[in-house]
Amino acid sequence: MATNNLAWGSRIGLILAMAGNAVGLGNFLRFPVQAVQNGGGAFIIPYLVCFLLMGIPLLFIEWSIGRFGGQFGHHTTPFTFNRMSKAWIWKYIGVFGIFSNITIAAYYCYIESWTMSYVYHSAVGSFSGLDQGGVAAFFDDYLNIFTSTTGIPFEAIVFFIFCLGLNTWVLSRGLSGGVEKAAKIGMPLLIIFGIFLAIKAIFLKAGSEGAINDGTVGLNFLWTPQFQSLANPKVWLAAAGQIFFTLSLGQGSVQCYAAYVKKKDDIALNAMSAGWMNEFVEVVLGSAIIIPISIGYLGIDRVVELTSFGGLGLGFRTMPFLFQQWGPVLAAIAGVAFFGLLFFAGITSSLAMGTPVMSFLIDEFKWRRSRAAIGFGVSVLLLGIPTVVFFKNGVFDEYDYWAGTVSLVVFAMFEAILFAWVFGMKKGWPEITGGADIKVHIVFKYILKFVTPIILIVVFVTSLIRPANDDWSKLSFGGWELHHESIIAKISNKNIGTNKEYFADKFYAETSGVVDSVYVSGGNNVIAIKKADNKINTYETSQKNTVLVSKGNPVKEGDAIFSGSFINNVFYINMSRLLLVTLFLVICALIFIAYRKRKKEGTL
Amino acid sequence: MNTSALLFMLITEGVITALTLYFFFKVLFMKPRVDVNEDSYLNNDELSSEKTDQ
Repeated sequence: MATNNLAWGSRIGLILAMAGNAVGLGNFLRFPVQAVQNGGGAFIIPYLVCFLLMGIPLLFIEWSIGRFGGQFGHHTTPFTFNRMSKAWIWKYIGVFGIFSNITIAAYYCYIESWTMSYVYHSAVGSFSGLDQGGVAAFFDDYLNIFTSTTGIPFEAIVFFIFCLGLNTWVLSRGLSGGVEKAAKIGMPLLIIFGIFLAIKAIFLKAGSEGAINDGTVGLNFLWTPQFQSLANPKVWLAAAGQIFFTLSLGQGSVQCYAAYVKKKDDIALNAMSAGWMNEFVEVVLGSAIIIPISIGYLGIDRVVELTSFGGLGLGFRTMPFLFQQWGPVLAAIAGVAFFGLLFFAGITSSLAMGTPVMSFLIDEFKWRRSRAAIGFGVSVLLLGIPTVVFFKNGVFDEYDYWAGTVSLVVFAMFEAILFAWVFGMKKGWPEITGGADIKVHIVFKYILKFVTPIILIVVFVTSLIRPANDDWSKLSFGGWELHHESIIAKISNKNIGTNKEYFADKFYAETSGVVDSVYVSGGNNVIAIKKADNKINTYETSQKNTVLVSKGNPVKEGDAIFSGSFINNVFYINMSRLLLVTLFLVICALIFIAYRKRKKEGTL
Repeated sequence: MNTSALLFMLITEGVITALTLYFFFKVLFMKPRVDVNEDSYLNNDELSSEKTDQ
């Protein structure tokens, strides 16, 4: 058996670490936005159904797979899957359990570093006196690595490295001395900060502190059931997707944490406790902060418009401005609480991403704990730098799409099939119920065998062929237009607009409209084009390139608007995909080497 | 808030909070196994050795 000096200190510590793994930025930024976009209160019905039929069963599967592997000294999914089935393919499917963690950590730690930076900026009052546009511009400046908001050169990279360094240091202290301690500090603080902000949001009064609506208007909007939306497949898919993200399923981190639980110890109650704790943070706290506060100040229509750009924009471009309405002292406290809460949510998740990578290096290559932690930190730094430097060129989104969305679904689908049908429920069910401190109802045996795999296959297939505008009535044997986020459309670059060449001497407008303004910002030429629906698209390029249009000019999609020398986003997108595929193949090669080594040692 | 939204929110949040507390306290007050040296948690081993010393 391979030696591994990682171990849990206490059961509560394990549960807090596992809940911390699940509770992430998405609980506060993604869930409320998904709820707003998918029928308000009615979203919660498919969400909870998916939690019961997919979330809890997958938690049982992942905890039991982890504990099963741990008995043989395997703490990561490739060799645990190999124990469950000797077919060669399974250990390579298990590679997703390492690949997803390292790739997600690469961009997740970058967001985590924003929260760190925003805690600092909130505390020192960087946002005071800025209007809404000023706060949004502050965020854009922060993302531009050549602009500094603190005077520190390459500030975004400095914060990213500092954040990674912190993660590496905590990981190097092991599970009981590092991860568990971070969870024991982070989780209670996160809940306290969340309760403080939720109370402030709920008791917001129209006319007071510049608010135009009561905080309850936002809650009313979020919780009013629109039952007709239950018939829309888009809502069900969004709910299933949210359950994946929120519980950190299909990632390999739950299995890794559970691999340090011994055979006779409970996993069923632990899984339920950690899972429901995440639901509390997401549904009770997550729904009571950004939507009530933003609707209180901006009104429903504006918030619905802002949520179309996702939760990150609302959190970083808008919330600091809204906190300013509470006066300088409370604004600083609220800013520190909000971004501190996001930071704790983030770090407890990124530590969970680091553990499988570390365990792999310790188990298979006998690295020391601190060396393995540094190995993780350096890998994430190398993989993360492109997301920082080429953030606006779509690299960040590519990582998020392929590693943070598609990989999770693919891995969970295969994992559920492996557990229920290849390993078999005859062996699988005792793995779940063995040592259990609660009685797991027999109905879950059948849900695990039939319902969960079917749901996962449906989620995967619909992600492949998702139709444009989520109009499922358009599906026919004659074909249909694909949604730009569907897997097939992504692979075939259907979402790339008019600038399809890697290198070009002209840049073409990607939308039709009228030139609203032409200006210089941060050393770049910017053209803002107002579309027919009054929304504005901006195009930015170096001042070395020439602007070909002026204010008031009508522009059609495909018209040249800049001339000069351009590297289009499609280049960065395809390069980042190549990088991810290479990473996956490198991990496969490492698994092959480790497999041969184990075979020689007779430890398979 | 309108009545349906309020009811929907209170029932959902009430059920989730109750289940969270139920499972958490069940873990919190669950007695460690008798053979703590063979369980998964290092702190139990320390408590066990302290008891033996006394």
